[in-house]
Amino acid sequence: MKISEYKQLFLSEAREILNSLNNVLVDLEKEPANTALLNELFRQSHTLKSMAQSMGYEGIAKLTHSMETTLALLRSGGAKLEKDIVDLLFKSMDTLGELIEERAKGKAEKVEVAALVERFEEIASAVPKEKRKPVDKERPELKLDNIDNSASSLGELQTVRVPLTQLDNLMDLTGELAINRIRLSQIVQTIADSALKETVAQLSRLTSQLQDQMMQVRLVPLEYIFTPYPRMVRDMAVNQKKEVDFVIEGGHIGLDRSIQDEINEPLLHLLKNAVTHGIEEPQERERLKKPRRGKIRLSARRERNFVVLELSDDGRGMDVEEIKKVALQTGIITAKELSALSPKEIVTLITRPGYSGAKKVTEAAGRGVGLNASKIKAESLGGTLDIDTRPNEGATFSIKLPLTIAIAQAMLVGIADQTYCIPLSYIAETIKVSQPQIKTIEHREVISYRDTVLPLVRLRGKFGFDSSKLRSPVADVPNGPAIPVVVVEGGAKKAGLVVDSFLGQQEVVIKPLTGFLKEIKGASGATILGTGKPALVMDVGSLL
Amino acid sequence: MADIMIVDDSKFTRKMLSDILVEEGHQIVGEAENAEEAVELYERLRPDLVTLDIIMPEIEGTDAISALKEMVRTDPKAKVVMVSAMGQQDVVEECIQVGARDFIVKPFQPSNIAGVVESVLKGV
Repeated sequence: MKISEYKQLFLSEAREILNSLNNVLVDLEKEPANTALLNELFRQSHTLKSMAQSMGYEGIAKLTHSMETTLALLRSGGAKLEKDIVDLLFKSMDTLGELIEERAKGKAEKVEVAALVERFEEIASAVPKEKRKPVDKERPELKLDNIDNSASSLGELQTVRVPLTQLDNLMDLTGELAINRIRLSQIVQTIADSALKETVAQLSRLTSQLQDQMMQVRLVPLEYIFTPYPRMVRDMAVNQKKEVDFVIEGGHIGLDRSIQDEINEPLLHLLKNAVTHGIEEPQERERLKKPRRGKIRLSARRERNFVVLELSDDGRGMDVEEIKKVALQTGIITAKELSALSPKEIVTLITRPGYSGAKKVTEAAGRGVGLNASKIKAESLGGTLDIDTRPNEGATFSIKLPLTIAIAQAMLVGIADQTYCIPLSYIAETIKVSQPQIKTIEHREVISYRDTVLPLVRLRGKFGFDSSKLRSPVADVPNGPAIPVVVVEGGAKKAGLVVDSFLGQQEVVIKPLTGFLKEIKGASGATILGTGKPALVMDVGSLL
Repeated sequence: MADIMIVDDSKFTRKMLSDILVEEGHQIVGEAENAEEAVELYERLRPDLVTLDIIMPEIEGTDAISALKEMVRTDPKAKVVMVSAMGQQDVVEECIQVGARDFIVKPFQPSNIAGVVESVLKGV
């Protein structure tokens, strides 16, 4: 029991240290004279070494020991941080990663460290003997004024570790409670008892507070997925002989951990695209009178109940004309359709499936690789993906995500005597239109909406209701502007969803559809309404 | 049984050390993960004994040795045991000169730790 407990602790801390080692080295590579970074690197490899020694993990211990020795030489000025040493250190960290993961799988360390250790020894032996002994750095005297007595960091930051499944269960229960609360509030409307009403009102407040707290608990700083990025970007840049400064901002912003797990892959894709297709070669940049080093910035910020992740680069950007060419060439759009699109809508064509399939993968096409999957992922999480770009100035990809997937504000609409929920995050507005306003372009119903053409989607048809057998809302009011339309937008696409009636707005607890229900088209989940009846939550992204 | 405070930047190491000491019948009254925290916590808890890792993150110029000096300055009777890895003998010696009572070496050997802690606690 004890051993496995230590092992878990070792693994999680070792991974943390390794991430941090990588990031410190990425920084040190840029500022080789920064002794604080060097000390940090030394300290962290030392910590990892003694942990590995305690566990009896020989490979890790040996390799970190060699690293430590070389780092000590660098610290004492006996050796200089040349490129080959940086590479060797990076390579060692990769090997450490492999060794740690082997241990995680319960295997012995198979990866060989001897070659790396030998390289470190060569470096050490090249240093004259008198310089080999590490020189202690100066130690400034401790001043009591430096110590902040006001806020005891220890007292406040007491934490406990809780398995994620337990949190999920708590979240589920809170959701059930919220559903019953909504139900209770509806029942209470029919009973004239002021004491009961007051109690239910109080219960409602407490339940929302509980939901709020539960949501906060699930938020994990984005560092959870951001931490390995600097090293990855550095490696991609080195491999492609590009020079890139990569900055991360807002890593402390919290986001639901399961959302982070889902969005990691799309983000990596965008990062890869930024280095590969965004940033130009250094010579090219100089020719364009841009700084030699390209800049990639990943930032996170909170916007009410959303988190916006923005990835921007100052690279070659995308040319709308080029995108048009590729789009036509790959046949994902006709010339006629193309002429109706705004420049912003044209840019989003690169997220269409098949865009990057252009025969000769040109720069303009390359940028689309994996974008379709990224967009679908963002939307399935209840978010959006937006693109902004200017030729030669760079591109910005913004992913807007809800803080948590489980609870959302939704609008309830009626379709053929059924109630459906549309997440509020997609809704631009609700309007009513009259039959004569509806025009047909190429067999598709559209209306003119704020100077643009808005395609209509009749949800009765979409969800397979036979409209002839049901009372049509249009028939009820033959002449008035009476057809309820919910204008939704996802990314740069807009559509008008034709429903039978607007029923109101409320908080819904979204439960995932499982088993064969997963296959339902146009629905992303289900919820239980205040009446106790279930309702489907619309997957707006798939309807656009 | 003594009240002991552990100072180490590694959670893993703190856990290991604390298990060994608890097994010996001691009580862990506090844990700190950097030197600055250590000084502050020492002031508040005044434990019977402190284990102090030699290599630790520096916070505003406070490292292990300056933390040690500060503990000894504010409490001349402070019993601080240094924790070090092999091959740090010169630093350990320096610590002993400025007031550390003894040292233990990583990787840990429970019998060695018990012996060192016992003798330091008995000494005045």
